[in-house]
Amino acid sequence: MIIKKHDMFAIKLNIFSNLNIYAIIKPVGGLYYVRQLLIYSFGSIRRIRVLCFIENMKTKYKNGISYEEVDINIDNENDLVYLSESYHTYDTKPMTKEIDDLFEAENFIELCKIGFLDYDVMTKENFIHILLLWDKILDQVPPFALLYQDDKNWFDVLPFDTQEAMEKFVADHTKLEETQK
Amino acid sequence: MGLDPFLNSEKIIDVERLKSIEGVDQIEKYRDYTNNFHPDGIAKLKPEEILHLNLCDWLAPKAIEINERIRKAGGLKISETRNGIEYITEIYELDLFHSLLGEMKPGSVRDATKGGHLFISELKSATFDIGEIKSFGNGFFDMEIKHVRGLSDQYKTNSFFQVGTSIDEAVAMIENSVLFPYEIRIIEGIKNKSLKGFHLINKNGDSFALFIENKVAQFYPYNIK
Repeated sequence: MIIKKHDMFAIKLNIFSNLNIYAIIKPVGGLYYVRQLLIYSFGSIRRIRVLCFIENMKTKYKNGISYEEVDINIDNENDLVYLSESYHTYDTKPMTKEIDDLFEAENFIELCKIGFLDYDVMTKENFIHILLLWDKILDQVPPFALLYQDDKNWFDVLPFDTQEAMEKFVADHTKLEETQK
Repeated sequence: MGLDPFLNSEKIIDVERLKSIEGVDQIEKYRDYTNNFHPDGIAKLKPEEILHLNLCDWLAPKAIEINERIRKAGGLKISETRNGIEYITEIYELDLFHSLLGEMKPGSVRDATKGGHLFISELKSATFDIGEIKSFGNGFFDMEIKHVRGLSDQYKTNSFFQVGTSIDEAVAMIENSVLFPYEIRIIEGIKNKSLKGFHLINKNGDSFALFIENKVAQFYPYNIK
């Protein structure tokens, strides 16, 4: 497995038993919209329970759901999930009539495909895997966690006890890429 | 003035007063659309649009008073330290129309889910189909919403202040979290470089997200458990 992109997080419970998740590399690693989901929108998903959210993906959320920091858009035809930018950033972009119409129809996937919205995309199976694993990680509150995308475009998250172990894992799986070149 | 007289989705309560309000985006968008609130223009409005405009009228004097007070006090300042250097972000205005009432644009359904974190049940039920509601502590809650006239069936999850929170109480919570924070965290990696985002946790453990552009702040309650 070769890591293409990654972000590292520190996870802490504050005195109010709220989770604080910090990105600990600067600049952050390029998995922007997955990171927005995991850091900023996952609280809302956990509040309705992750298993319930996944069940809702067959019904109420079959086309997706929007949060303040990320929009989740489900392409059922191709079994893909697009995580796209929220209005906080796209509102400043110049609009055309075509783009305006796509927004009115809330066709976010097409807005991603034509390049208007920035996004990360993964398979539905991969998205569910991330939801389940991140939920488990947040239950366990390990001090560190790694988000990465591998050379097969699979996204994954892993808990770590130390920052050194996490950095070594990244280095080992990045070195491999250099060796293979 | 109290909220009740403005909770009307059938007629604009005071057309002349609404016309006289300047510099509020939400009202300006309807000024053009209704030909400066001409009766023929007003006749085109949907019930939720009339209610929204009445609530803009309700909020306007309060928003002026609050923002004048903030400006006279020298603004609100968020201080954060990175690599030993202190960075100050100033706020001279709270965008209360966006943050508390929300957006509404003539002929458009998509903007209505943006902002609007004060729970005014009449406005929300006139504008949205409501999905699941989940508390996230101290009375704050998430609520799934989608526009009643929307073409898609996609919900948005918005966060809300406690039911019954007044404008002054919501503003006091934001000011308090800026002035006496338990913790300030910058929201990393925002691609719009003119926008700065923060999470502020106050000493009760309540969290708020603030997005600041040109010294104007939009805000909403926020939490991850």
